[in-house]
Amino acid sequence: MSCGRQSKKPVTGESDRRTSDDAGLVRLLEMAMRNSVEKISAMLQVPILIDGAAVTPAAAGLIELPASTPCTAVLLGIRGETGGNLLMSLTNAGAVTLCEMAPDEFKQYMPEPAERLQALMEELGNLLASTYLDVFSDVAGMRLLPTPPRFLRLSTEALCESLLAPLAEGPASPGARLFTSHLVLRSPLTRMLIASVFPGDAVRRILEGARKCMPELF
Amino acid sequence: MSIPPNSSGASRRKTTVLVVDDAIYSRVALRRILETESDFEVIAEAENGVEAVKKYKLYRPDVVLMDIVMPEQDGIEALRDIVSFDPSCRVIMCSAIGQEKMLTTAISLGAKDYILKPPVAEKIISSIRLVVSTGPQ
Repeated sequence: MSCGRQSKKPVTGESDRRTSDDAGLVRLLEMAMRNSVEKISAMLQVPILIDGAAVTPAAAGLIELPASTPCTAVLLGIRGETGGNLLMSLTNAGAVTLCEMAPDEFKQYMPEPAERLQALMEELGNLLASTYLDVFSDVAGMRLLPTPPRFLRLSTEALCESLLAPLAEGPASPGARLFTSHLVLRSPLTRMLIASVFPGDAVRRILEGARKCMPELF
Repeated sequence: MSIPPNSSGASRRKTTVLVVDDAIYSRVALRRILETESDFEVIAEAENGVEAVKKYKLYRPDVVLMDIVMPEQDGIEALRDIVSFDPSCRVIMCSAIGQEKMLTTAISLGAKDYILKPPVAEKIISSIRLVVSTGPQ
């Protein structure tokens, strides 16, 4: 990580600042995703691509699939110096495909597919969240850790509610942001949604840290 | 040191390992790695920090492979408790968290090594051999 470099161009108005902030956060999200992909790819022994990265106001919610689409997911809380949540989700059909990617030795040890899927998803969620939060922690200079994963089989709408729950429970958090990206696992093709939500105060600290430590992002 | 019932005593004593991880996937992966070495024996497994401390006291393993993010009690707290019970313990952290602060915290509390997940067989085996050959106990 390279601290102390100059920003690309000066930012003047409030609107420019917001655009620049979100652009920087998208680049940070891409860094976090690359860090996670390296580890997940090593675990599953399959090539993985990152498909897109977006940062939006958390109030916008997740507009992904029809609200009633049944999904398989793991949800992890973010703890340490802030709150938040991280979700890793795929359709039930995608989950069946993912389950088949488990190493043979694991299939022998855990022959029941539902049990195997849950174990695999929890491990993937833990690996993803830890490596993803490492990048945000380094940049923001604060300790962000995942909680143990929670395995869920819910509709897209219910998953979105669970993801955004920390914001609904606490005081209003106007600067809260939703970070979304997708992982595409090749052969067989499987698409996985990765979404995280950070409250406004955490977003401000991440931005402050990133502007200081990695101004080239903005 | 008390030897568990399944140790023969006739042959060369194996290095006993306690595997601590809440994820069954990781425990299976670590067990499979350790089973490739004839001189290693997984003496017990634990799913959280509380269980880890109990099983450490019961089995007195040569080495503990310890995850960090776990329910009930995390790996850092369990490390603290095990070191307090047995300052000569050999605990190797095995976690997906790569934050430098976490590494320095673990090492300052008495962890002998810190391995990043996903576990690579060669790294796990060489780390255990190194801490057994150099550390006290």
